[in-house]
Order: sequence, then structure tokens, then C-alpha cells
Amino acid sequence: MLLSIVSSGIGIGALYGLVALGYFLFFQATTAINFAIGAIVMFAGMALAVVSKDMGQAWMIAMLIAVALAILLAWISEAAILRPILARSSDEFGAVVAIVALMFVIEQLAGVIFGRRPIQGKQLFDAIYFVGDGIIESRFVWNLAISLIVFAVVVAWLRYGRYGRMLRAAGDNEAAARVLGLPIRRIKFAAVFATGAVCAVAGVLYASQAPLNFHSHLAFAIAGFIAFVIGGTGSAWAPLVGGILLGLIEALTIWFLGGGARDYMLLLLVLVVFSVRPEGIFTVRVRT
Amino acid sequence: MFQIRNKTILAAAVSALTSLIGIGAAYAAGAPKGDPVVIGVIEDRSGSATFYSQESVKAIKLFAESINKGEVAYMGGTAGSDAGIQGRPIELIFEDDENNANLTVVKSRRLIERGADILFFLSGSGATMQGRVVCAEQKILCIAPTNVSSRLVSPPNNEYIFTMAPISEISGSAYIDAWKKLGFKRIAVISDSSPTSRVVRDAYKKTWEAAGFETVADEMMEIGSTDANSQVMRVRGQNPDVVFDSFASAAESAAMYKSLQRFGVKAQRWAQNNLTATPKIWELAGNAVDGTLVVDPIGPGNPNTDAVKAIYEKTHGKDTFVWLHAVVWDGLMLVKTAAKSAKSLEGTALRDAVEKITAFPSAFGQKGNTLNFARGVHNGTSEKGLVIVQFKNQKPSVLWDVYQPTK
Amino acid sequence: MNTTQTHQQRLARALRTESLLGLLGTLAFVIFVGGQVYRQDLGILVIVYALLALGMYLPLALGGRLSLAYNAYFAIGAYSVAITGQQGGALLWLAPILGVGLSMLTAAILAIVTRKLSGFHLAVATMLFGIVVHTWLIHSGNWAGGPEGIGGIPRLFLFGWELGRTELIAVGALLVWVIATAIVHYRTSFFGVALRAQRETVPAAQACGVPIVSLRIISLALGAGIASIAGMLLALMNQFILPESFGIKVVFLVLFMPILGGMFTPWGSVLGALIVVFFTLGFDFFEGPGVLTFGILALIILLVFPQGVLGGLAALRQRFKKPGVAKGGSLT
Repeated sequence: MLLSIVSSGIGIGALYGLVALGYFLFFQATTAINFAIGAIVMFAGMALAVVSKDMGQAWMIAMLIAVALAILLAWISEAAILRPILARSSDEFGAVVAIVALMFVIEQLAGVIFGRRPIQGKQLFDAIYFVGDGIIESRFVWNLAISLIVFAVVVAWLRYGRYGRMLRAAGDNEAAARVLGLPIRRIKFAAVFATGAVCAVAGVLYASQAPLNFHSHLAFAIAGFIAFVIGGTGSAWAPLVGGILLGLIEALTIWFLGGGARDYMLLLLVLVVFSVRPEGIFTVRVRT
Repeated sequence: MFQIRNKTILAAAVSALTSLIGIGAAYAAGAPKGDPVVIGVIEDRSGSATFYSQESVKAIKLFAESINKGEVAYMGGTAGSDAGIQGRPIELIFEDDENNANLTVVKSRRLIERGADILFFLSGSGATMQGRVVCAEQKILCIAPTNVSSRLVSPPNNEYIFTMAPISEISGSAYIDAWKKLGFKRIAVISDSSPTSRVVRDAYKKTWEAAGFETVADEMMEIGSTDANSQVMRVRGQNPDVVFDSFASAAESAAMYKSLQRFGVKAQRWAQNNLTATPKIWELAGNAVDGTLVVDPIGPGNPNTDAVKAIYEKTHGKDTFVWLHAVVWDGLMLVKTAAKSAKSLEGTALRDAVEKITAFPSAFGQKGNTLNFARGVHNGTSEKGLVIVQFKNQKPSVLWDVYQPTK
Repeated sequence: MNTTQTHQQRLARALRTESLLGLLGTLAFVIFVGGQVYRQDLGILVIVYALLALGMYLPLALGGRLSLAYNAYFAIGAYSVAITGQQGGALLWLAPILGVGLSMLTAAILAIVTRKLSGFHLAVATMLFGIVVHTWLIHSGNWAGGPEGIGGIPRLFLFGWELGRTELIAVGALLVWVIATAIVHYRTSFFGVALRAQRETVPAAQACGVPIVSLRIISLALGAGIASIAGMLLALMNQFILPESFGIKVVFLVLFMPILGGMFTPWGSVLGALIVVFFTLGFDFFEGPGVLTFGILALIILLVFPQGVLGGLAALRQRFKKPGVAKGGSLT
């Protein structure tokens, strides 16, 4: 019994982790929180579902389109919106409002383009595994596996990839990186590209398991952000840890306290974590 | 300059010609003439009830057109076989209230300002609850064909509003009679976190608890979550006789059915009529929905239903005909009938005319079902307006062979 | 010595002008709305949104604290009227005390709990609080109406005089003027300056003995109180409230208003409310994709005209002023 709940929590948490990774990568490049990432995930997922199901295109093509759209949206949010506003003043209010506006625009665009109805892509993972008297849905296993792969790729890129390493350097201190002559624009684009790609993967996974609504993005954005904060910015694996932790807490709360307790639990978690340890679990250790 | 003037003259000539041809054609076909009867429609185009609202809007647009063409199917005797309302063409105007009660009031008044003679509410119950205040204030006839809340037709502010879909109390007693027949005692209910779903759950739960049934599980799924496993497992642990679906949101509903199937929950599945109003759920849930029983306003075996269904499918063949469409037809026909006897479009006259309508043949319910209104009885249905259908091959296609509502 | 005098005189005169212009605008608004039922519906929405925007503006523009929990305070005000209004309205006079008091207390507690947060962290924490309150209202039991809300709210009687729709619009508009003017004066008062100082540099302000945390909490509480008044007016006007009206979407909408109108004066929030209601309700053109067009518009304003409408007007005015006039004495 408990095994089913735990697997459910890990499976959903893995997706939260992917969204959190999106926040993480974007944060590395801009030190800003892109709340519209939830909307980008939703948009990519809907694009995949509509292109592959309603328009009957090959799944691979739909996937590529979804990735392209996600990268485009991520790029717009950075280059066209956040960069000019943050350059003007360091006051975060303008950035917050701009991101909220962008979130709305993406949501309404999704509603207009894809329709205001629940959309579901082809169900990729239908198998169920029976373990004891519990059930593990295969989709949770796949979510975890695919997330691990994505994270591994990103971690490798950050550690060994050319732009990945430059991103880590620039992310720590943009002014210093500029002085050193690093190509800031291209680094930011690389980060945005990675953010978009990760969001697209998350969107595709969501679309393949559950119906998406043009209202769905807020839930993704909040969950991803909380996972990001819990994990911290100290390591590229942190978002995954944060995500899985959040997923587990959520699943266990619903199991023991019922579906209505989830919102209250989230609020409590946020207040506790944000006040007690806002840097998250993994922090950046500076060698002195 | 020269070119533009030419274009303007050309355009004017073309429009004049088209109008002449149109008028000629209208005269030839015996079309409704004179000032249009303006029906103002409150719809939800961008809020949480968009899905249902737009289904109802499809129906009202199509059926208004049909009536304007004189296609009244079996209603010729009651409503008159002339085209339009009082021989005048029906014109529909729309306002979007986003299923937000504060906006409903503004938009209703806006419709009246734009010339509406009658109002139709095709948005959520909550919004209509607020909107009906305008009906009472402005003394204008209002129809809310798809809302099932009994509060809508109870005082205060209920003097000018009418509904026709069976109210939750009537549906509730149909469920209870069916369950009593099967000797069930333990009910598990699952709902989603939306206000609509909570209202439905509250209403039905109160009804069955008052009749002596025990609620052994009361689970809720958050809107936006994709997984109902925990809730379903808790339900399974209680060993209920019945699992009752009181969801209002399609996506979460489908996830719940799939979970029920995966965990092999043995209880008999019952759902309220949101399930049959939303074919999207059948598509999303796949065969997990088979076997579910619903107390639904429409089912096989009623020739009136089939007639309206035929009209609907002529234009919207690919879409499934659901009870929302049937009650919208009845709403329009009710107005046509009332207007015939009232001979005026003045709100109070129309209202009084509706209150005198009895034995009105409905497009929904069991064969021979009629609507009966009176002062203080603004929802004209009885249990004969309900049918118990069962899902087979992902469609609510069969009448349940064990029991049908009889009162 | 002379310059200081002139500066203070100029400041005082500017404040009086702003207040007077505001009053004229308010009167024009009330007269325009008049007795027309449809305009009154729009009018009360403008007033409600203006109050919510002012409530958000106070702690934000002065203290730099962005709280997104305003739908909760909005709801507290409305529900206090609805609940005390049951049973014939004998207890209705309790509503302002209850509504304002409870929302201020809630805001203060929330402010204390989140005092270490800032930026997006603060935004998300307060947003979650707002969401929780909204959820709770939907699932509340009978005493708060539950998902079906509370109806049959009676009209308020002030000294035997019934506050009908027209009177509520007039009272509401007057309240907007009073509060906006108060904020204008507050901004240049000792507390306002102290609050703004801590927004710029916390260490310097602390060194001057400014009690930063208390000021922030007080400004957040005041903002919440203003927002609750909006709720009370809405409940009295419509005589019916539903929990769906107090979701987080309201907050997002109100968020745009100070930016649209101009952040450097509270009147910007009021103008922003007017613009938003006009755009989303007054114009047929924006139906359906209305929110989309509105979102795009908001982005354009943020990127191209960050000073908002009033800011743009002020900049225009500067351009037409004679050169040589000292630019000191600006109100920002």
C-alpha cells in the first residue's frame, strides 16, 4: 500500500524536478526567477498533444515542434522581457509583473491556439506493475528514468560542455565574466536553450500521462518553484532532490490527511523552508 | 479618390442587390418577418465553465436557426408551427461572463441595454444565481436550461427565472431509490476541488444521508493534479457498495476513472450527469468508464429526444448529442410557446404565460415526459425526466435493466 | 534658508493641487456614473479595483514589499459584511470593525512570518497564502456559506439613511479619494520618508534609527485594511458573494494597475483600475481574447512606458515647461 504512494510521489516528484531544473538553468543565466516556466511546460505539452493527435503528425515531429516552441518562449522571456526590465532598474517588482503578464499571455495563447478544453497526448506508459498488494504505475518509473537521464546530461554539460562551463562561470559573477571576455550573449542563449529543452521534456511527459488544461500552468509553476527552493542552487542535481522530496511529501500528505490538505501543507512547507533554510539543501560552497 | 469612389458605389450596389435577393428569398420561403425577437445569452467563453457553456451555445445557435426556418419537429402542436417566435425571427446576442458572478450582473444588464427581450443563462450555476437578480429587477423573462441547482428557483429573486433540467434533489431521490432496490448501504464519494463539484457533492451527500445511507469515504482531488491514486486507495480501503463521481472537471475525472480501474475497485460506479454532459471524459478515460451508471436526463427510447438529436446531428454530426443540447431546445420551445399565448414580449406577460404551461412535451427524460409549471414552481420536472443509463463501449448507450425512475 | 522655504511651499502647493485634481476627478466619475444601472455596475468594479490597487500600492511603492495575498483581505472584508448581515442586518455595523481589524491582523501576522523573505520568495509565499484562503472559503462549512456563497445581504443604513447603489458609488468614490490623498500625504510625512528610506538602503536607514520591520508590518497591515474595504463595498453593492470571486486571479489583475497608471503616485493605481475595467468590460473589441490583448498591452507598457500613463503625462508636461525652472521638489 505504502509502496504505491511512495512510487506515486517519486514519479510525480521527478516531473517537479524537471520543472525545477528549468528554473535552475534560467536562474544561472539571469539570477531571476522565471515564473512563466510553468506556462512554457504546459504550452510545449499541449503543442505535442495537438500536433501528434489532432493533426496526425509523427510523434517525433511533434516532439521537435514542442521543443522548438519551448525554446522560443524561454528566449522571449529572457531576451525580450527580463533583460530590458532588469537593465533599467534593479527593482524586482517590474520583473515580477512582467513575468506574470507573460504567463498570462502564454496561457491565453494556448487557449486560443489549442482550444479551451482538456488536451491529452498519446498515452505512452500504460503498464502497471503489481508488487505485493500494491500497484506501481509504469509511468512513474519512466518519469524517474527519463528525469535521471536529462539531469545526467545537463550535469555533464555543465561540467564538461564548453558553454556549460562558461555558464557556471558567468552565473557566479556576470561582471567578472564580462571583464574576462566571456561571450555573455551566447552563454545566455545556451542557458535559455537548455531551459526550453528541459521544459519541453517535462511538458511532453505531462501530456503523455494526464490531460492538460490551459489553467494547468500555475500548478506546475508553483510546484517547480518550491522544488527549486528546497533543492537549492548548490548543485545541478539539487532540483531533482527537491522535486522528489516535494512529490513524496505531497503524496504522503494526501494519503494520511486527504486531498484537501495539500494546499495547507504546501503553504506550511513554503513558510517553514523559506524562513528556516531559504538557500535550500544544496548550497554553493565557496572555497576560501 | 476616383478608385475609392468607384469601390464605394460598387459595394453599395452589391449590398442593395443582395438585400433585394435576400428579401425576395425570405418572402418566397415564408420566413419570419418583422422586428427580431432578441434573446440575450450569457455564456462562458474563457472561464472555468467554458466547456459546458460552449456546448450549450452550439445548441442554442443551431436550434434558433431551426426555429427560424420553421423546423419545430414534434412541437408543432404546442408551440405552433410558424417560423420564429410570434412569427418574428429570433436574433441571438451574446456576452461572456467568464463564469464570474460579478461579471454576470454587468453583462446581463448590458444585454438588456443592447435590446434583449429575454435572457438565457448558459454559464455556471453560481453565475446564474447572481444574474437572476437582474431578471427580478428588470422584470424580464430568464431561462437557465442547463443549471440544476434548486436554489435558482427558490426565493428570493426567483420570480422571473425558470429552469428545466431535473434539479439535484430529484436526481438524488432517483439514485436513492435505485440503491435501495439493490440493498446498498455504504457510499464513497469522490469530488474535485472546484466550487461546482463541491456544491454537487454537498447536495447529493445531504440527500442520501437523510435517507439513511452511510458515507464511508469522502475524497477530493485537487484541480490541476494528475494523480488520484491516494484518494482511490483510501476509497478501496473502506469497501464501499457504491463509488459516486461528483466531479465537475473533465481532466481530473478521467484520471480518477483510470485509477479506479487500475486498483480494481469492486464497488458499483455511479456518476452524476456531468459525466454524460462531457464526452471528452469518455475519450480521456477510455474503457475505464464502462459499466458506470448515471441518472441522466436523456437516454434511448424517447422519440422526442431522437427527433431533436436528428436535427442536431444534421449539422454537428461528429459531435455527441448530450442532455445539455436537449434542455436548450426545450428552453427555446418554452419561450416560443409562452410568447404564442402571451401575444407580447413584455417580461411579466411572458412570465405569467410560462407559469400557465402544463403538459409541455420535453426533449429529455423518459418517453412521454412533460414539464409542468405554476406560480412558485419554476422548475417543471419530475423523476420521469430522468433515465438511468449505463456506459457500454465508452458510451452511455444502454438503459439500465434493473430499475428506472417511476415517480 | 530661502530655498528650503520655497521648496516646502512648493511641496505643499503640489500636494494641494494633487488632492484638488483628485477630488475633481472623483466628482466627475460619480456624476458620469450617475443613476444608470449598467454604469453603476462598472463603477463599483472600478472603485473596488482602485481600492485593491491602493492597498497593494501602499506597502509596495513605499516599503518595497510585494505581497500577493490581497485576495484574502478582499475576501475578509466581503465575508465580514455577509456574515454580520445575516438575520436582518442588525449586526451590520460590526462589519467594518471586524473586516478591517481582522485583515490588518492577518496581514501583520503574515508580514511577521515572512519578514526574512524578499522578491520572488515573498511573492510566492504570499500567493500561496492567498490560494489557501480561497480554497478554505470554498470548502468552508455553512457559517461561511461554503461553495454556494452567501446571499441576501441587506443594505447598510447610516443614521437612518439607506445606502443604495447610487449612495454606495458616491461613498466608495469618496473613500478612494480620501485614501489616495492620505497616501500622498503619508508619503511625504515622517513615516513615509522613513519607509521609503529603508527601501533604498536598509543599513543607512537602520543607522538613523528607523524601525524598519515595524514600519513594513504597519504598511502591509494598512494596505490589507484598504483592500478589505473593497470587499465590504462589493458585498453591500451586489448583496451576494461567492468564494469564486476571491481567487488569486484577482491579485494578478490588480498587480498591473499601479504599473499601468504610474508608480510614482497613488493616483496611478486608481487610473490603472479605470483603464483595466474599461479595457476588459467597456470595450466589445476585447471580448474573448480580451485577457490576451490585455496581457500583451501590459508587457508593452512595462517595456516601453515603464512610468505608466501618468508618468508619460508628467514627462510630457516637463517637456513643455519653460527651461530654467528648478527641477527640485519632485514628488518621487
